Order: sequence, then C-alpha cells, then structure tokens
Amino acid sequence: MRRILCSALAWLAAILLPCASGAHAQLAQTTGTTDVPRPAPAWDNTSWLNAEAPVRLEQLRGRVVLLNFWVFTCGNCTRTVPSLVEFDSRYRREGLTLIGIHTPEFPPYAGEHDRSNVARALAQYGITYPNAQDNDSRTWDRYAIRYWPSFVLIDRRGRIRYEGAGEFHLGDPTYRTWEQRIRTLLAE
Amino acid sequence: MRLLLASLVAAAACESGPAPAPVRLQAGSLAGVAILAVVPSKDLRINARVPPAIELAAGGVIRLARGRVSMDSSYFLEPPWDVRPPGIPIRGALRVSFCRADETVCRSVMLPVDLQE
Repeated sequence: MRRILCSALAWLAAILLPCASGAHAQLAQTTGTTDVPRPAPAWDNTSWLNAEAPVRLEQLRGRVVLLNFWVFTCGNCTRTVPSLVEFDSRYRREGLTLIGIHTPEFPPYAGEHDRSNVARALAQYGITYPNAQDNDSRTWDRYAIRYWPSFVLIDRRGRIRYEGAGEFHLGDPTYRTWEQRIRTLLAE
Repeated sequence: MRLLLASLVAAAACESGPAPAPVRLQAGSLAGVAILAVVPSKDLRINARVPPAIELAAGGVIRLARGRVSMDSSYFLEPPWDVRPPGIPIRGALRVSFCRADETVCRSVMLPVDLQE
C-alpha cells in the first residue's frame, strides 16, 4: 500500500509541476535571491546614452551594478524611474553603478528603437546614469528577462546576486528591499 | 496501475486546457464606418503608450490607437480601435502590450488574425 501511495505522489508531482509553470503563470511582483551566485553575462551593446563610450561589465569590477531592463513606453517602468534615480543619487559615490538596458517591446515602427526618442525620455524622467540601446534584445536574452521592468543586481565580483521584476515606488516595501540589497552588496 | 493513476491525475490537473487569449480582435462599425477594435479580457489593461498593431502578412501595419486613455496616458480606458482599411484582408499578427490589473509589469502578446471581408 505504501509503495502505491509513493508512486501516486511521484506521478502527481511529475504531472502537476509542468502544468503550473505555464507561460501564462501569474506574476504580481517578484524579487528573488539567486541560490548560487553566478557570473553575470557580459553585454556588448554599442549605442549608449549618458556615456561617452560603451560601458562594459569588466570595467565595473569592484563596483555594485544594478541593471534595469525597461522601455519608455512602459508605464510600470517609468513609474519606477524616480526610485532608480534616487538610488543613483544616494549610492553612486559609495560604489553603485546604475545601468539602464532599454529594450524595445515592439518592432521599429513603434519608435522605441529611435535614439532620439530614448534621449527624450531620459531627459523627461531625469535619468543621468548610462543607458544602452538593446534594440536587438541581445542583452535581454542573455539575462533571460521576461518582463518590463526587470532588475538584476550584480556584486563587486561580477556575480548576479539578486533578480526581480515589477514596478515599485519611493519608500514602499519593495523599494526598501532593493535598497537593503544594494547596501548589503556595497558593504561586502 | 501506475499508468492508469497517472492518466487520471493528468486529466484532473490539466483539464482547464490552455489559457484563453488575453485580447481579441473584433470587427464592427461605428456610425456606419467599419472599424477594428482590440477587446481585452477581464482585469487586463492595454498599454496606450505603444498601441496595438496588426502586422499584415501582405505587408504594412495597422495601428489601433484611437480611444480614451488614462490621465497618465498609460492605458486605454476603452478598447482601442481604428477604421478598417477597405479592400484589404486583415490577415497577419496582432501585437499588443498589456498589463494585468493585479500586476506591476508590462508584457506583450502576438496572436494570429484572419478576418474575412
């Protein structure tokens, strides 16, 4: 009887798990810790704004890096920008580098690929930290991003330590979570 | 026995089938003019900053950008629409950026469309 029960449970797990992880799975807000820190993939975007030259991951060893995957047509993204600007203002001198990875959602006809439109958005939202145009979604794919906005926090040794997605606002619980993570990595 | 049990469990677990499409394209008329509109499913908002588009298989794009939008211009308050071009088969892909009301992220979907004249 015990063997039958165990077999049933095993089959149940094998069948239920794939069903629960479907593409339409609901997402309210995710913030997560990576179980095992892994090396952050390098990026090679060539078009940058707020930077005199392309910013490379290897140049940032010794700094904590917060990547923000966003697009200016995403309200969830632009409503989060004030929090990111605040992080940049508060922690840049302590060793934080904020980088925007601007990844279009639509094909070029929507205007998200245009450098001048991105520049206008940076000015509109007061963003002064470097932003890469990720028009071919290459960096998005390397980091296996699925939602706008998403965040990846990289430690001073170039390892991914925290990942998450979803809008947050100055002082709210998610903001405080991210801020604590930044402080933790800056203190290492 | 194992196979039978697995089949029963599988039927119970997956009987709801694939999730329904988050939006659908609807043809209609407004004041006697043929229109196309994108109707969202319940509890879903369509991004107004990058309005839905029909990418025609024959080439060309129809943007469905008309309709009232929220104060911050983020979302459509009614199904976005536009005039249906006459004499053109509406065949291709509908691309929509949307947000669920209970989520804090944007996501997009592409659906095949094929509307007869």
